Amino acid sequence: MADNQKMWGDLGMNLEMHDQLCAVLPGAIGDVFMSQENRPEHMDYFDMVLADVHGLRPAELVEFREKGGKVFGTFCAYVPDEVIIAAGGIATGLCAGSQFWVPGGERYLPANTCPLIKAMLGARFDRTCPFYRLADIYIGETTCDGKKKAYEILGTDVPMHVMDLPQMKRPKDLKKWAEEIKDLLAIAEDLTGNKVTPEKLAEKIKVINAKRAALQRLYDLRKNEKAPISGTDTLLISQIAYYDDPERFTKMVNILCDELDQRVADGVDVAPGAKRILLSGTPMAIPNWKMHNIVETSGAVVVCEETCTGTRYFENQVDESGETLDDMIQNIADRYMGINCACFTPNEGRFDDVIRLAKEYKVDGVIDINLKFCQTYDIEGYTLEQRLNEAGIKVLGIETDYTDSDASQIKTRVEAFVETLA
Amino acid sequence: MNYYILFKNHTDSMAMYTTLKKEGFKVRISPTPRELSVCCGVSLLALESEIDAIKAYLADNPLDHLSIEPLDNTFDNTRHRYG
Amino acid sequence: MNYIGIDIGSTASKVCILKEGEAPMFKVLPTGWNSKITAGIIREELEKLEGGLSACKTIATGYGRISVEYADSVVTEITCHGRGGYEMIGRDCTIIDIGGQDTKYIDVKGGRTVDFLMNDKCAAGTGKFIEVMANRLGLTIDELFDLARHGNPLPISSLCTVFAESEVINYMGEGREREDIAAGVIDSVALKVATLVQRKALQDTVIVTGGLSGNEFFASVLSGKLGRTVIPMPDGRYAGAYGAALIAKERDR
Repeated sequence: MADNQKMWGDLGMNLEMHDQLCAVLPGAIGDVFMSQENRPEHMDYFDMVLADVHGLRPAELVEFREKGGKVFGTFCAYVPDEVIIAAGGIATGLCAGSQFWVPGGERYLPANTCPLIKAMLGARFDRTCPFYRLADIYIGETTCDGKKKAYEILGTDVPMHVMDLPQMKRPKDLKKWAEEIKDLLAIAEDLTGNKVTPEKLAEKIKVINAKRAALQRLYDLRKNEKAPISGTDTLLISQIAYYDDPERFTKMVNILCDELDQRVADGVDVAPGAKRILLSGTPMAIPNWKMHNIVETSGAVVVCEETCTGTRYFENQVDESGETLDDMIQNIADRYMGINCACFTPNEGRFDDVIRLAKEYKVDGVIDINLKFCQTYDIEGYTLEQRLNEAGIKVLGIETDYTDSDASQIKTRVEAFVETLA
Repeated sequence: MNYYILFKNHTDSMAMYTTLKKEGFKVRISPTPRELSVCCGVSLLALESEIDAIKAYLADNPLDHLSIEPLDNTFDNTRHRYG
Repeated sequence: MNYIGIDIGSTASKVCILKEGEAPMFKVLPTGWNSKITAGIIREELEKLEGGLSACKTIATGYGRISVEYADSVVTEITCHGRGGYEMIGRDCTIIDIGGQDTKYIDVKGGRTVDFLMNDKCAAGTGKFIEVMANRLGLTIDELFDLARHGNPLPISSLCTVFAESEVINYMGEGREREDIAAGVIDSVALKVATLVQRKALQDTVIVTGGLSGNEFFASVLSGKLGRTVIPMPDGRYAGAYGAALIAKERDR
């Protein structure tokens, strides 16, 4: 794997610092993933992607760019990949899920900024993530004040386009979001030099719909009383969804689901006797596996995530009946505005989603997880808790960040919560 | 004791993975532990109970790889260190 | 059979020995710097019981619960405090447990914990806060309480123990009365506890467990903040160990 070092060097990465991340990740992967028993065989693909997370996919992106291709870095489930790939670009998530990048971000940001945003800036400015080096342009969105202002700082170092996401969901807001998507399409055409035809966009809408359908299929399998796959493994798949090639990813998820179908038929249970938990709240970017690891070593199993690395990413499809570009763009806008993020007001849809998912997945309790200093989810947590109480669903609120230091305190709370579910 | 099979690239590691799985060995895909290599990468993790049989198989059916290394490491899901 | 509850807290370790038909026996020892050593000392004591360890069903709780390698199982301090506190008061109740490093709200119905809340990482509103302030004032914790009874509380508003200590240092620099500072410290702890639990519903019966549980003065200050009578529990520091022993007994059936 010596080629990785050369590639990282060519990408202008800080090799010495990046090496510190390479030093700790294999151990964490061993503890979190390889310690699990009775994993599905076809997790092997995702294990491979993870094992060489900064090598395999970046090498593909390097090759793509050498042939003139353009890479679009994204941060959020609201950015429609359909448009980017219809222009012949590659969309890749720019994850920011490690404490490793946080101190780098703190050089630029106030201490009371959420760790996701800090890690975002740290990964860029420390030059310790190949994906951040490989994106020709970053596509941001106005999902919170922290990100908005952080994009201004990122924009001093890399071409940056920010999509203005409305904060309400009235008809005029849906139209406005369609306009924003149209702008993204123009930017994508301009950067790639490719024209987006109605045929091309229709084709790519189907590609991303198929990806979402595969993830929905995976999640549907978790509704079974006997869990055929752990939440920890599913989280990894959701994280990889953000940056893998969409068609290959869809194929691999479906292969895994074929195996899970068989597991369900055979009555395989990866967590016998465990309490079923729905995690709701803030996204868990790779390699943030903390909550899943804690919950799944505390007598519980995570059967669903109402997060951006969960149902918010794949629920609802883009209507495929559009014929003109304008129709298709509006259909895309409608689908993405169906995501219920705490940045919207009102956000009743999210409360309905959590209660619906709690029932669909037959959970014993909900853990509402909030990344420290994520104000919108934090404040919304109050109402969510009220609604869940009214619906007779038990809920535990947890606030945390990327550090390891609060793991044992969180574990005490989670274990106690599981004990109350007994 | 765990045994890691190291490779020059992931194509070789996946080729051996597919073959050894077909032969019924319980090999797993693993990131290369730090102790064995300074480069991230895909290795195969073999069981101690199978390693002699794997070596014997590879002697008869050569497949590209760099080396096979023992490592006394454990996977502890309660360590709660995430990197 | 002896049913044993071991509660390894951050400051003190508590043991409850429960024998059929006898009143529970409680013991306390400092946790010290190593929970494993503390657990070992307790083990030696248990070996001396009739039948030794093999005649014991043991449940460990508290933050050091995993250090009790000879325990039959572990249960969190939240569930154990709920069970033990319920047994002590004999009816459904809200328990406020003030420990060495955290404060908990526990809602108990029929002996079972149905809801709980713990303070965040910060030590404000915990036993540690009082310990730090007593040290700063050159007092033992008991002396701090004795002084506080006779003082008019000075406001200590910082949410952070370290900053609150700065406030206390300022008062000392201004030459304020030690009684008033001491009263301010106790008042501040009670206020922080009240702020923590105000998100949750309180039952008619509210009891205090943990290190401050037997302190009537603290219970009266807390009653004032909560607008409800808070009952001090003389053996409340053993609620966790007692609950663990009771659960050990229940699980044996």
